[in-house]
Amino acid sequence: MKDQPQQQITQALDEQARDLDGNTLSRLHQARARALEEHTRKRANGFAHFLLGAGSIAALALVAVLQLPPLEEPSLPLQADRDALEIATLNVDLEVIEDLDFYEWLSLQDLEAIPERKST
Amino acid sequence: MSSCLKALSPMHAVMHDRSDEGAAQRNIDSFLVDIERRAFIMAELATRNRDDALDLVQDAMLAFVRHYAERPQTERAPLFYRVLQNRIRDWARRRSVRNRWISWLQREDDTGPDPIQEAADPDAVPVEQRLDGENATQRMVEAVSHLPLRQQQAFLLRIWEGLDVKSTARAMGCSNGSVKTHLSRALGALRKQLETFRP
Repeated sequence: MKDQPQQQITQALDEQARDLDGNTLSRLHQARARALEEHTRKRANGFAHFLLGAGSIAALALVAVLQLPPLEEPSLPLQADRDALEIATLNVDLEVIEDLDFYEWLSLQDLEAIPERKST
Repeated sequence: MSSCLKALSPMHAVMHDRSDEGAAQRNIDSFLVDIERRAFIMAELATRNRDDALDLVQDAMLAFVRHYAERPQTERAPLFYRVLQNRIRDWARRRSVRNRWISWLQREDDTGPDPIQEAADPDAVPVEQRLDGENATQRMVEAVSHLPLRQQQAFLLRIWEGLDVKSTARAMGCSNGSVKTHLSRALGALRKQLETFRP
């Protein structure tokens, strides 16, 4: 709550601010226009800095990709692949190939049976 | 996909900002329009020189948009006045150094008082007449302009501009207690001056 002298003074100051002459107002307008130009320039610089930063990052990424070592030579085929290739080239009936596991098991049984026979 | 969107989001934000540039510009413009007259009066009361006051307001506007234009609306007025008051204080310091040099140089060439300077101004309005009726507004403004700088700042920011104690302290670059002290002294001095003005 303002007392009377304070109120009088603030009213006087308000009047003074309201009744500024044209020349002063024009110079204030110019000052404001310069400030707004500065504001626009600052924002434009901010965008340019962003583009510069993004461009630098993209360029670095490209250089990094180009500097990567070449892909490794294809390794030799695995044992399983080689077996499959061998089977495909063999001139054998398909049923025999399908029962290969059985024949393998049978041969193992035979090998185990040999020492037993020798001992008897 | 979401990572791509995330990567694009700063770009999107900047494009969005650019589309809002017109609005931001209008926002700053309207803030400066609101504040420029009072800022000028404050600077003129401190400097008692129209050109110096206009230069100070322009400097303050430029510094404000460079550093604080993106701040929220509520913080803008205290920040603007802080920039302006700093410039006024710098101006007062430079002025005081210059006056010291001038007075020292004048003392060197001192050959007694200049009779022309000492003579009464025939066009000067007598004090009693000056204090009458329609000059009341001018008298009150003069009373404020005769306050010491810190008291003047406290009075203008706190009473005229209506900033709270904290914002005034921020604008003046001092403590809340100092604001209260300066303001109390300013009000005392103004009351005394207005008493003497009364016919």
